[in-house]
Amino acid sequence: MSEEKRYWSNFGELNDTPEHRMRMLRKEFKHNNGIQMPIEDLDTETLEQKDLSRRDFLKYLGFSTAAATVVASCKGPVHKAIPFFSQPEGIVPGKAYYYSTCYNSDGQVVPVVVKVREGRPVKLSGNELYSGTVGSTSARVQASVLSLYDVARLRAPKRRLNNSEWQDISEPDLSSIDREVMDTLAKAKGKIAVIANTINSPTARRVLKGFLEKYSADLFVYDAVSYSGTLMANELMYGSRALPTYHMEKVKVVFSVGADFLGGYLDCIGMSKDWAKTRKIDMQNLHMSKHYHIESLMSITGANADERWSVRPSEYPLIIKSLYDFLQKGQTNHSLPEPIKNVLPRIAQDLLAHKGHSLVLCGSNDKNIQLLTNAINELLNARENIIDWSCPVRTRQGNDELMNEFRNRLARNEFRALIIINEANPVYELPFGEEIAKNLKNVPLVLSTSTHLDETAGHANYIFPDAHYLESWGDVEISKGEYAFQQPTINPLFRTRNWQDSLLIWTGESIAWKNLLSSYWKEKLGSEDLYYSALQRGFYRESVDKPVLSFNQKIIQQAYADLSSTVQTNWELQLYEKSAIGSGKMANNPWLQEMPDPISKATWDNYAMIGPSLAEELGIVVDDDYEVFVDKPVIAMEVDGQKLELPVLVIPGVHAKVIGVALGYGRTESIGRSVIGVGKKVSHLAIFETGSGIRYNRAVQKLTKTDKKYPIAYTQTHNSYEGRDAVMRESTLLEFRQDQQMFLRKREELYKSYGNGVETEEQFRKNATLYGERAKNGVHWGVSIDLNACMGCGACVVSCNAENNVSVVGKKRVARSQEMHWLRIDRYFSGDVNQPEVVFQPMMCQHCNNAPCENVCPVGATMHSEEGLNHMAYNRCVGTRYCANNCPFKVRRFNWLDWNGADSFSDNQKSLVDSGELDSVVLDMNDSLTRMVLNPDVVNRSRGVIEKCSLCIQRLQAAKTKAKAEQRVIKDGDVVLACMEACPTDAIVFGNVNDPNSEIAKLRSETQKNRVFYVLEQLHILPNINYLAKIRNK
Amino acid sequence: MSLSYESSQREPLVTDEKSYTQITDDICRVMDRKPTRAWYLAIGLASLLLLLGIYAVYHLIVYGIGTWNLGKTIGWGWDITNYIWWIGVAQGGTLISAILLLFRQDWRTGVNRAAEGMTILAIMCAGLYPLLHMGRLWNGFFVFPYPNTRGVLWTNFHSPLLWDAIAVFTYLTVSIFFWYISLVPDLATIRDRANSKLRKLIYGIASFGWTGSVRQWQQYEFLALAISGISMPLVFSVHSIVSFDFATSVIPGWHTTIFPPYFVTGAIFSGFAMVQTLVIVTRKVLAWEDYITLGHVEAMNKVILLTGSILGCAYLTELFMAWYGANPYEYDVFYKFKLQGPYAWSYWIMMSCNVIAPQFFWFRSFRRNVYITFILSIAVNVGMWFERFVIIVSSLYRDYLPSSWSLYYTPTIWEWALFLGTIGLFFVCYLLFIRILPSVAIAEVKSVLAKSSDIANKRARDFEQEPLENFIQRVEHK
Repeated sequence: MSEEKRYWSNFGELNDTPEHRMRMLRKEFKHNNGIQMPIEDLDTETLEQKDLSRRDFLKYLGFSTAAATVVASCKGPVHKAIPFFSQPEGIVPGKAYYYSTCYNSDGQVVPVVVKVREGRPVKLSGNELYSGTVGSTSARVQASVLSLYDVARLRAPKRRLNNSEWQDISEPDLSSIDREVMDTLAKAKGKIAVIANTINSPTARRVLKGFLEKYSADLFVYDAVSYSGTLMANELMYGSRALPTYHMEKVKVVFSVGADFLGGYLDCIGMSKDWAKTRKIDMQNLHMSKHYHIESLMSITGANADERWSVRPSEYPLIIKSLYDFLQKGQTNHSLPEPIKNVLPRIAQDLLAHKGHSLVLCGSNDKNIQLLTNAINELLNARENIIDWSCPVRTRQGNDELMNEFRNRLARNEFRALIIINEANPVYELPFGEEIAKNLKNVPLVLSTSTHLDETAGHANYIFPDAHYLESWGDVEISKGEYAFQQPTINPLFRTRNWQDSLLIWTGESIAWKNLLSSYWKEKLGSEDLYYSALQRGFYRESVDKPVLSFNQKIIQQAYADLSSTVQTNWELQLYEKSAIGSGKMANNPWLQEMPDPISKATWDNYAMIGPSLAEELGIVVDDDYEVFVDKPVIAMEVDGQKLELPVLVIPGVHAKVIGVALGYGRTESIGRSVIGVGKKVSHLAIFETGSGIRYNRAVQKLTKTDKKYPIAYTQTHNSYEGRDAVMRESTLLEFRQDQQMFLRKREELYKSYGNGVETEEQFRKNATLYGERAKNGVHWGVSIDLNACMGCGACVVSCNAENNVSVVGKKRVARSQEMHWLRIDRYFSGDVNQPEVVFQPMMCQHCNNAPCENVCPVGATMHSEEGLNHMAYNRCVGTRYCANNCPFKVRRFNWLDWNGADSFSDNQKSLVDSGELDSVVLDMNDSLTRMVLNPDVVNRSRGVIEKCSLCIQRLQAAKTKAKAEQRVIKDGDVVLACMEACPTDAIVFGNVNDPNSEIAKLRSETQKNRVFYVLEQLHILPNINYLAKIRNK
Repeated sequence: MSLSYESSQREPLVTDEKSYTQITDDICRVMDRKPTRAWYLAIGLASLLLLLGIYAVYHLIVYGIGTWNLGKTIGWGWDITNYIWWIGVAQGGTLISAILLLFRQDWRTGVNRAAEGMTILAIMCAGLYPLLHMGRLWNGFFVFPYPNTRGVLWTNFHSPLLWDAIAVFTYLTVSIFFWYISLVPDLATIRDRANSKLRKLIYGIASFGWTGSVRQWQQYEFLALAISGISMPLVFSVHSIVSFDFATSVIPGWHTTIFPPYFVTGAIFSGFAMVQTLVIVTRKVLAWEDYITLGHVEAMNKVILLTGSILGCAYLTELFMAWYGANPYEYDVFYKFKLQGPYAWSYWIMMSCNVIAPQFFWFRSFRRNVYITFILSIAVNVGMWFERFVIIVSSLYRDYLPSSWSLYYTPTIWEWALFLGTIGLFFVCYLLFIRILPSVAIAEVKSVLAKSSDIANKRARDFEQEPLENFIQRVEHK
């Protein structure tokens, strides 16, 4: 037989020498420097190479047959995955693509970058290029990606059959329905109202204009939380119905009267970013800005202020007037309430002393107050550096007067058709929403473009659901001359249609919204390339002329005179926005509902926030029992005949006569299972005032404690850190200036008292143990958190949820302390319960180098890495929870139930939901649609295992792989943690502490050395996370 | 002058002038006759509890630990409380059989069989909890250091939970071994009395062909002594190791060096209390007052008094150290969150049941009163349960960071069901045990008959009444 013909490429191959073989092998498996393939444990001798005897062979055969039988007899659940039949162009499995777009809802406008994996958006981060927010986001922005996969979103256009029945409009029917709509609109010409939230898209405004012109329709614009009075004041004073940009980074003294500018007022993201710049301490000259705060409730901003007092909301006018007097005349005739009496002159002096760098903000929506506030800022010369009118912000355009006119005209039955666009939901959001709902029945044609069957859409005849912003094109005018772009990151999931498209169709235009948009911008920017590069950047800025502002002085005297200084004597209700839920537009987002409120730490509900004095007055005892039982007493209040019953949470610092209730709750159940039984609607308790706008504080006539109890699920029971200075360190700037070693000395005291004969940090680390110190070579990760910058907003919490697939557990389970958050923000009050100081402390796994959790695990499921990380091997975990018990920080989270359908037992959630042990929102989170939000880089944890912060190990690994591919060492900034990425105030610094040039190494050893402390350092657990002591400017 | 025999001063261990045959008859009677209605009622009740427990286990495995009321701060609750409580109960039996054997305390013979049985059943109940409290109990075998294919991934020998698993399994093995060896002669007795072939066959196999030869007795005695020597350290080691679960941690209230002796004493204390509870009922129902006499009851009450008082000292030492140690966290846990606070009631139940209640046993009349003993033994059982609850829950619920201080922990029905289920398991097994095995050690009781019993005393009295001169003469001139 002839030998097979052999081809060879070189002599090495022909002769098949060992050297050649080796070379080929090396070529195949390139030498790894650092990362090894996990095959080192395997025997190098393979089965074939072994000298198998017949006996051995039979042994293996018998064993493998038996094993196969055993394995085959256990049937696991079958999950079907359908692979691509042909690979779509531009999608590489495992590779992330990033698109820039813009979050634009309810006044928050944030250019973002969307991470898209296998065609689905999974994570957002702020657009670093945009100077307004520089990569910052908020909890709502972070959570918006989950709303894309909301199971309760309307999936097709709908037609109402009768009161509660709806029918989907099929695709072929849609055009005929559109024609029907156009016919009806044509007949209703001149009697058509379009209701919208502020439209800040220039192109959409053009679309709308076309529609309005064609049908002579009237446009009514409002904001879910009104700024109407403020806008009116600005218009009267500066002739511009807009809000200015505030350069908070230039502020030296800020005095806020009820303006929660870090948590919800105006552009809180950009403002908090800039505010934080002045709050971080420059250790060279030890300087920070001064922040005075007066408010009725306890807000994030108040919690972060240097000095804070609580007053009634009805005292705001008095305070603003008196301040105006002080600044103008140096004295006032008004008699001020007790806590303010002595401090207002001091504040006025401080403001004047920093003229040009001081600012006064007021959260009231009263026209006259805002006029006076503007006048005060003029006196302070704030327009010189801080208040910038060159690029007015047009994210709030609502006009309450106009809405009131709409309400009246609707009541007079003047409209034949009504169109609701751009997130508007007047029935829920406006104080007179119920009246609107009632009168809507008289309108023959009500069209809604709502994404959900919400309160207003429920009254419509047709719903043409809008698409989510992550599947839409769009443009946004952030401020004058500054535009951001929206581009779809996924094909529309459902048969949705942008409201712009709907309007274009009804106007009779043949052009699609997407094309209109691109042609408009191509024309405006001059070329297609410029448009695409702007799209890629995510925003576009054009130069604007600095406006010459006229300043109307006369109006001030009038405002001063008009502003009533009467103060309520009874209780007052103050409605406010929570930083997560806001006005309630995203109330059906489980991540936001489960995010603990920064101040109250409550989830899944709104409640009456009252102060300790009012609690005492009502006979509510705040003791251990109050703390440890979730059932809270319910109070009943009456506001001008409207009754409301709400559970109570006692929050230190709330004024003794004020009851705070959050907006955005009590939404209709048809918008998603996450709002079922969640809170109460209070927007109807706001009141419209002619000549100004909607007012969010009311007098309460009756207030009684009922015998009822209602469970509130909160994540932190105890409010004080009990003077435990190993947990928290804080001081004032004054003290710190005098004694910069104070925190270092405190640490040394701990070493001495706990370390038996050691004095320095190094000795403590090395000698206060039986085992000696482990070497820390190569990369060693560390995190530093600046408690001066952290304002507790919770963006990091939601970002962590999104990045790490953290499960949602629902209210009932939070009420059993079973929430899963890897990162929480601890909030502590200190000092006087009526005027407390607040400090926030983000708390996640401290990645202790000498971790108590690691040595107690019987199966070695949690281990330390050489890079200083505390690893968690889910597959190995058997769930003894010993590690969680032994964690002094209590950051380990156990999968108590099958939260995410990753269990060996299939379908074991439904019956728990049926029996009321589990909230149905968990089922929503497990829907195959919702699960598309899961980050494919992070494994889903099954029931019965412990999980915790991994320092985003998937990001670390990706960065290392990238660095390795580029043949370089990993450098500072290669890895950004999810929490750090979302943080609007840049409080979190992460890096390699062994790299002397890294920011964290410098911070620990030089720049912030004097403020560094580790929580519970005396336990010798050697955490890798450090904090920078909080310093108040006092 | 008359001859005096020392044992007449002592209280006899077997009363009513029982002969060897009578002893065999009395004890085997329970197994010979048909079960009484009371027995059926009792086992029926216990089986119901057991079924409840089985359902609770099913529910737990399918739905998870979340059906319990634990949370992020309190990771262990009733599960580990019950585990340690049961293992503490188990301790009594081994102490009675091993240590008292080594110290040649003959009074143990009346109660040791029941106590050893109790030990094994209690370990079974205890052993369920470490398994069931695991989130993924189907992977529970990861805990055992068996050869596997996972390479370097083995058990973590630093973990006290691993020590625990090893200690408990050793304890169970040795206890069963010990218990069974002492059963062999008695099983042979039942075999010899058997009136059916099946019974003869079963007990015949179980008794390993015991013939009662001198050689066998010699070997039997030696083996019993040897194993009691082996199990003696176990009495101390098991609960010491259980206490390491807490002592080696960093949690204030757990991290304390007093725990090993404290736990061992507590275990003996609760073990004796549980023996009292069982034995007082058993002796009454089975009319074994002649074998388990008031003297036995009293002896055990003395141990309860001693260990209860030691425990009291331990509690006070703990409080003292919390103050003297100047660790603010430990101080707070004891003085603010145990003596006061939401769980103070459990601390005070523990104190009154474990420290104050046994003090009644200073009075002889109380020690010898079965009713009082029964009530106090129940009190001690309850108190010792609360001791574990106090250690676990009220140390965990407020630890270092006030932010994670816990909500109030109350068990769900599933935690109750599981606990009741283990009680059901215990009593079903105990009731079966007294039906099919002699729950008083026949051979061992017989061994003390010649030394310390009414009949021995009677014989001695005959001697004693005889004038000394007669005796000498009789013996000398024989």
